[in-house]
Amino acid sequence: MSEPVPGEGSLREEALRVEDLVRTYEGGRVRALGGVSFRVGVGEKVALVGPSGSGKSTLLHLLGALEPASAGAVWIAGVRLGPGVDLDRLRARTLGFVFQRDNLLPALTVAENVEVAMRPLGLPRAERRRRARQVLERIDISALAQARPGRLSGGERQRVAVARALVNKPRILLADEPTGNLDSVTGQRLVDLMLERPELTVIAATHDPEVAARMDRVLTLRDGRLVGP
Amino acid sequence: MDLALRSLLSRPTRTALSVLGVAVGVGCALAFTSLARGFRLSLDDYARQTGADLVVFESRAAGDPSFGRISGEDLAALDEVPGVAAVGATAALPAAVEGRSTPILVLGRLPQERPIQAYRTPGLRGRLLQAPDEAMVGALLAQELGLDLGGRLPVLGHSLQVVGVYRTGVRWESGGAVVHLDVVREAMGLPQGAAMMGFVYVEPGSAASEVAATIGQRLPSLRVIPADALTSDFAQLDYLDAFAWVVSLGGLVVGAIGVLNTMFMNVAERVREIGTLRALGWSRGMVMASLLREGLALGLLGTVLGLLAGVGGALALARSVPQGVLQPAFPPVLLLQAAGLGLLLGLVGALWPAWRASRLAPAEALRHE
Repeated sequence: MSEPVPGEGSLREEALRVEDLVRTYEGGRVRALGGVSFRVGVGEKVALVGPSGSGKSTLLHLLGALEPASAGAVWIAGVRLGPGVDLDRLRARTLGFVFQRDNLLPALTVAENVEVAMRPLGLPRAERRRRARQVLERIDISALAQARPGRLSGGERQRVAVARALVNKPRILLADEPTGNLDSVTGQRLVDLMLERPELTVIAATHDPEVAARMDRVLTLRDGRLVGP
Repeated sequence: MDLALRSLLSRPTRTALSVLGVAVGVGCALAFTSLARGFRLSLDDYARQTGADLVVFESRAAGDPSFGRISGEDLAALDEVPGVAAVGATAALPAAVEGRSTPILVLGRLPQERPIQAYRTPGLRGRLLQAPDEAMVGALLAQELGLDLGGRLPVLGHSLQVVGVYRTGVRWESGGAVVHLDVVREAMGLPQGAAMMGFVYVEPGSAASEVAATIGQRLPSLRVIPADALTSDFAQLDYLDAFAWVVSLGGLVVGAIGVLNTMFMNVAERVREIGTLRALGWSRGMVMASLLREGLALGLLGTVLGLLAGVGGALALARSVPQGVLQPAFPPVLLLQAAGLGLLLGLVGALWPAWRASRLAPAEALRHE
């Protein structure tokens, strides 16, 4: 039996929908998600909260088409994830990811780290450079464009990670503890960046009540189930 | 700069060692095969210089004509074959020379036969030999032993008067001597009139292939081959080629294992990075292609280094052998083969790690610590 669907009845156009989502591991012995259902409207900012191990990261991975569901269904921008769907294309064009650790590629410069996200789009190199420069300017970090991630502070690195997630103008941003390694002020500035675009749907897993407070809605997970807003 | 190159440059020591592995493989392959190829070409040049159309030797000596013996009767019978303009007999053996630690190659020729005319080149000083107590020496040997016209060459139990100093395009020939065939026959225990090999000159207007077929029918104890394909019948040269490749194979395996090891380590250290790329929309194919480019870059760098090392090594090895018996040859096709081999090493070495990396589940890769 699935939980009630929080957010159902929203007047906004639907950005994503999850129905009876189940994810088990080790042949079903470990149940990370046990029948989760909810909808998120376009431009809605949603905080995903809950204790460690409650299934937040797993849910984000399923929403991001990074691993398959054991049961249930996910719709992203009206497309039901499953066989026949080009998940790479979906991740490149519709979704943006921000991780707790910046996951920047240490061998590349800041600008190249941003450009790397545009490679699946098949854009010419000059266009990739132009867009990377543009997004780095917008988040006020263009001075570091040629620096390697190793020379950046944690906050700067995470800003680059946000720039990388936003450069393809995704419709949905999935963030897994994006401020987890940052101090409060830096974290809030990062959230500012994530919330800047009104049309961008944001799902952010967080332990930080201040981050959750800035979202439109809060979904609470416990033991792989939604326990209400 | 490409991600593949950047990744390699971020691990310079590992990359350098891997490149070195490929370079050793390519260098060994090139050095050994170029020497084998050079030796083969020099033998072909040697036969071509005589101006003969066909070379005959004893059928039983298949694999190495130098072990063959052609009787005087057979040589005389060759002269009777329709279409044959002339026949020249020859024999050769390595012989010790006073004042030199390694033997020289002594070729026996008859003054009245055509093969000896091969030494009548613009580089000839003096004259062609005319008598059994005379010798012609190659320019390299003359230089090494301080011999000149009128000097004496102590060889095969004789002290032969140097009447000519020749220079040919075959280095080992220029490092040897030409003496009267009778002197060589005596040293080898060959009966009068016999020879080791015969050169056949075909009459103008006759087809060498038809003459060869007639010789084969009339004298089945002889094997006939075109002079410009002399080495095609030397099975021993095939063994030399095979040996060169077997030795090279060791280096190539080392190179491939080096690339394989490097690529596996690169992938193992970058599991999370690969998960990130997949999250950004990189397909399995893109991940695989990126890693294959790393392997190719290793192969390319190793190839450039290997080609230089191979050419340098072969030349150094050739210089270490007296009289230039070993002269490497670097035909473009051999250089291309070596380059292709280096690139293939990089590609093959990267294939398995790249495939495994492309199969990583994105979520699992992102969870990797």
